[in-house]
Amino acid sequence: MKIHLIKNFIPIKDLFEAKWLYTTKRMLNQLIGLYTREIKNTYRNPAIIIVSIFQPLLWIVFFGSSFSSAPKLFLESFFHTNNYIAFLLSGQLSASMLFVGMFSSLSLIQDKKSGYLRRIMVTPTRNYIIFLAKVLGASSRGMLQVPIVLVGVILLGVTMPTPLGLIAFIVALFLLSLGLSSIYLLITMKSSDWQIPTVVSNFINLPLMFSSTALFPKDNFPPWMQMISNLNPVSYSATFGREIIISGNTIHINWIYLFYLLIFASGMILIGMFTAARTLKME
Amino acid sequence: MNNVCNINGHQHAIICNKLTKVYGSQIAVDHIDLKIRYGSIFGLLGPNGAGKTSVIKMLTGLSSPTKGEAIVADYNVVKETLKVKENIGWISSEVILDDSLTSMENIWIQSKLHSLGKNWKQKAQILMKYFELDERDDKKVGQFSTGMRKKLEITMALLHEPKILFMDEPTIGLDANTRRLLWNLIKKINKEYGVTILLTTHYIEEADVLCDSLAIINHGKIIARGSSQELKSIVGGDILEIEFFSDFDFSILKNIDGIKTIREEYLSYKDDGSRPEKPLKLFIKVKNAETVLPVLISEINKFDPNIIKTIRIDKPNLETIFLELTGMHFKEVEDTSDKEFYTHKRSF
Repeated sequence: MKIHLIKNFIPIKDLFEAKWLYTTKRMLNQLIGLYTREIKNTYRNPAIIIVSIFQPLLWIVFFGSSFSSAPKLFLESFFHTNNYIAFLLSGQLSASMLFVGMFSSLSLIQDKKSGYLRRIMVTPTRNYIIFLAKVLGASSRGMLQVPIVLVGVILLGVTMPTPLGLIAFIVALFLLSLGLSSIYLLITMKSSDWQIPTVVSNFINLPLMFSSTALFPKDNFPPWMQMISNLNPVSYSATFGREIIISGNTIHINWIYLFYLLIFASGMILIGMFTAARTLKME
Repeated sequence: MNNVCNINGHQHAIICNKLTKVYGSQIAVDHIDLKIRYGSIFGLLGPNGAGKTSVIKMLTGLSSPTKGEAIVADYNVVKETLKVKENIGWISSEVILDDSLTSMENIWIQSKLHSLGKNWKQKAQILMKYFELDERDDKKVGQFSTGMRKKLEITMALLHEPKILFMDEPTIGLDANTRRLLWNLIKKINKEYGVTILLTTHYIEEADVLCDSLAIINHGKIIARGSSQELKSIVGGDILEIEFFSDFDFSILKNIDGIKTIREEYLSYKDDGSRPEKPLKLFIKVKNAETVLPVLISEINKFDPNIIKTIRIDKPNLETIFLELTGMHFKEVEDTSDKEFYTHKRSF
């Protein structure tokens, strides 16, 4: 059974028969086709774009401003910066990747309900290609908000980081988004119930957001929450981005967080691809 | 048409060998054997819930058989699923397109899924012209009429030049005109592109008009197969369906010359075993309805002159075949598929 599974997953036989070039080309074509569909669907719906940009921006403006008149000494000692918005920015963008993940599973359910998934599945497209296209599509959608939110934030007194810093920050967010979308797609692999992603997101998004370093530093968390925070991928991206935003460059930042995120994203994608190969189906 | 072979010399596009699908405790498809020749239009006819869609799902590699095997386009559906999928096209009962994209965008995605080369557009243009679709139409397909959407779906299904086309209830929900149009299209693509077509339907007329050969499926089993003509000969005569105002001893009718069999309508009996209060209805198979009917009516009138409520003459068609084989009309099977039925035949 195990051998059979691996054979199905990686076309080993094809490698030996030198069909690999054709197979790879086909998989790439399929991925491009499905990914383009995801992207086109996003741009065809301006509401999605506007909401996904404004939601984090509103958070940053309203929640971020709640500390605007706090004594500088308190801000310095608690947040290690005198501008809370600079502190919040990276955390908020990281937390909003949780919601991006939720949209990815909703879009899979939409494809199941409309039957479009079946249209894909009667073509020679492997299930994990479908999964990959969804993950990449959702994460790209999540990246839409980054540049515009940054512009908005600069108006609130945050300095623009160096290009390398900016790229590193966006890569971190993209990796986080890949991992979180994979988790959400895993949840909806077998079912086509609209309620599941919303219920799950209510259940895990808030704990993941508050137990991360997205809104507050973890120094004052109780030990059990510090433990969760240390394992929470939202923390990695929030802390990594924050170091870049506050210092404005990449000289003193800790690259290990990016490494953790890389492991998180690739791990989740691999688990997702294997699960999709076996269990993705129409009801 | 029957001698068409594909290039490999194989005669059969689809071969099912004791194909079975079980969902939980329910047997959806029960040991089906099928052989469908290349180049033919094959119809799988049956009421809703008979197992037609389950058969299509297995043959298109969407679900694996519980037992048995199937060969589609010379490949095994379980072991060589991708090869099967390369060689088939599929048209859904409800049109499935990405409504927020234009027709060309929809076709482009389909061409990518089949990894077609740069000539995809040329192929698409030829097909679109053939189906009288406007390639420059940049409306979203959500705004298309049902007929146009159906045509677009067929274009997409034919784009990669499949050997076999699966059509699951292709004309369900279409108006009479569009249905006729689609029938012509199906015949045309079968002839001009040489595509083998397997279609499922629960419209008897459709199967009669379109299919070279047929199988009738009920409760997951094939209960009859053959060409429309061959199936009609199963009935071996016309059927008179007579409804009465009241019950009477109809055994006297069996002596009339030309009457083959007399059968009472199947009824679901009440829990206490008594007959439900429904007027008597007889299905009388006769050699020729026109000659027997006058004699039959005069015989009944002798017994009670005002007893006949309605008379219906059924010349053999697929509906009467189904009736003959199962004792029920299509509609009755669909309406009562959950309820337990048992037969009641009075002996004379």
